[in-house]
Amino acid sequence: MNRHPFLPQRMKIARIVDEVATHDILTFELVPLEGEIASYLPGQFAEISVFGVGEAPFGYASSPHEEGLVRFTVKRMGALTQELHRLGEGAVVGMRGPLGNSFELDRFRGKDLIVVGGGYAFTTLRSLIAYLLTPEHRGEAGRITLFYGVRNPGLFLYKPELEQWRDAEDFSLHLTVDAADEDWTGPVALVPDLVKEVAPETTNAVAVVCGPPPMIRFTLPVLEELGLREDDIFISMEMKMKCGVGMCGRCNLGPKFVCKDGPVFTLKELRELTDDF
Amino acid sequence: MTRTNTSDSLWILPADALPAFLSALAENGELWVPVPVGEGARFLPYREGLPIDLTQTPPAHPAKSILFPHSEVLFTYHRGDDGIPALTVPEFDSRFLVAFGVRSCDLHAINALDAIFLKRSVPDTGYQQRRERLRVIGIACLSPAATCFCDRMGGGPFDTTGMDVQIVPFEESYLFRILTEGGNQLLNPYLDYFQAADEGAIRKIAALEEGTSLQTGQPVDFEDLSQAIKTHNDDPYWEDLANACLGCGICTFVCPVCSCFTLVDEGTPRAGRRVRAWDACMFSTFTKEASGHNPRGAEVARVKQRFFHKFYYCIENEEPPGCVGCGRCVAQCPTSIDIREVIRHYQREGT
Ligand SMILES: Cc1cc2nc3c(=O)[nH]c(=O)nc-3n(C[C@H](O)[C@H](O)[C@H](O)COP(=O)(O)OP(=O)(O)OC[C@H]3O[C@@H](n4cnc5c(N)ncnc54)[C@H](O)[C@@H]3O)c2cc1C
Ligand code: FES
Repeated sequence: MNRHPFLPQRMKIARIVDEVATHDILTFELVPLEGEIASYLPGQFAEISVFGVGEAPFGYASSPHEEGLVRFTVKRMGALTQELHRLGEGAVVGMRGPLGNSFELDRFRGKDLIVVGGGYAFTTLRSLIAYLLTPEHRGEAGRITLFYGVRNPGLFLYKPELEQWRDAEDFSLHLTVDAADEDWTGPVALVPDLVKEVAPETTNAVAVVCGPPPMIRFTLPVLEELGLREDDIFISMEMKMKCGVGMCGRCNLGPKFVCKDGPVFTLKELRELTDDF
Repeated sequence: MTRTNTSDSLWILPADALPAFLSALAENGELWVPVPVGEGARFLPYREGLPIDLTQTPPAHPAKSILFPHSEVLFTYHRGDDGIPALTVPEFDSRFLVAFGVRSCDLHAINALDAIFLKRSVPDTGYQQRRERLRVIGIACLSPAATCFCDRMGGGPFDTTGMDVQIVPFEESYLFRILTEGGNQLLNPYLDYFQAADEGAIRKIAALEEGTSLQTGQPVDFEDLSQAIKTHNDDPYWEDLANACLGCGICTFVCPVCSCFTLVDEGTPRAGRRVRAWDACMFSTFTKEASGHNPRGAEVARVKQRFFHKFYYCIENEEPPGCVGCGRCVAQCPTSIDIREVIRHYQREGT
């Protein structure tokens, strides 16, 4: 059979984790039904197929060091994500990936890392942090400062893991919510405000930002005020996609394609590509 | 432009022998010919008795459909009793694929399609296998349309770029000019249908070529045009175009270069297929996301996308320009949006 770039690899859903109080975000753990898992890096994405419905792109939430499986965390939105949420463990889906660039890990080497995430777009940031916290990769970055905000405490993804990260060395965790519940003892603040208040050291730092557009928009000036240069700020972009390989003409920002040249861009690149930053 | 010279291998086919020749050719491969449909003509697989129109300049439908079909099955899926979907990719034809009666504009467009489907990232296997099997029997344009402007975009009525064989209609026959080894191999088995061209015929055709001219302006300087468009992002001119645009997408479907597509599943959860189908950047749903957010929700953003892609993004990415001067969008736009005007608007003075 001819392999072509649109033929997915068949993957079995090995495990499903219900992530949040609203039950509309599930993490799917996939294992290959055939072949190996192609090697990938944090920040890349894959097109996931539900046969008969279509495909949609999701960032790898797993880290490359977790061998033999991949994980995607999917919020229920429209046609494909609803069908995906109806599938059970054991069902077979398709996967095309990895696609796109990744976080530029070489540029993080020896630097402190400020990670800013919001909402369910936290998926690839989880991949990045889990990767950098493994003993064999921990030396690749300096101090990691994580800001992660959601609307209310029930909406944090990967709660058990966040708890583990609290104790990690050279790591500081800043979780925040827009609205607290009785049990919440952390800050109630918007992500950009919290970043400003904590004001992490930026002399030898790079930042990674991933989240809803308003969070990104208000966080960028804060990071720049703290002293980060525009080519030390990395942003993961989202745009409607189909092909994932720069052919279908859908996801371009100016002359660049989010699927092929991104999804990760520096703020400097984005300013050259669009008027939105 | 190549001139007829006697070192080319030149053969004459009487017009009434054309169907017999095409039928013989079609026995050994896939053959696509321009067929009259409605007021236009489109490229369809040849079968005996099908009418052929070699006069439309250019045919209303672009030849891109030969390499990039309007819809194409990428794979089929079928779930057995175990519920596991089996995926099957359709077999590819391995015989040659002849595009007959294609014009210079559509052949220049293939350079642009190659950039997208073969060179931009991974090669698209379906396109690639058709491209490798492709042999072109092109045709010279003796009477270009009023909307033609290929002479400004790198082509010309007698241009032979991309052709293995060029045919020139004259009197009650066709001159076949073999241009490549591929063309030679293609025609060789069928030379019985032909007569060798004599001096008189060669002189007449040289005169035809001499007498056919298309002079719509200076060749476009794409670097200049690209810079001019890049620096006029907020020009009110785009609003004027957007106000005229119906958003019907016809310009993209008739364009030999436009190649936006979508991927859709057709079928039931049990069995069906994934299909690639033509789509258009001029539709608002093209970029509309699940959240409702749409980066190109406004008509003006879509109109800009079309022209920016053709004349700025392609050049910036060192790909061939997205326009070959076939004039189809000019001829077929219901509200007379004219891409030549856009070029004129942003061409530096004096060019
Ligand atoms: C690089 C990238 C990474 C992403 N990572 C995640 C993730 O980790 N978790 C998550 O929940 N969501 C993620 N998304 C968003 C996710 O792709 C959309 O929510 C999803 O496509 C919606 O599909 P649907 O069929 O349910 O919606 P519909 O509205 O029915 O969409 C129909 C089709 O349009 C396309 N489409 C629609 N919206 C989007 C969109 N926002 N982005 C891309 N394609 C779209 C898809 O092909 C989709 O199947 C990511 C998007 C991108 C571009
Ligand atoms: S998703 Fe097709 S070009 Fe990016």
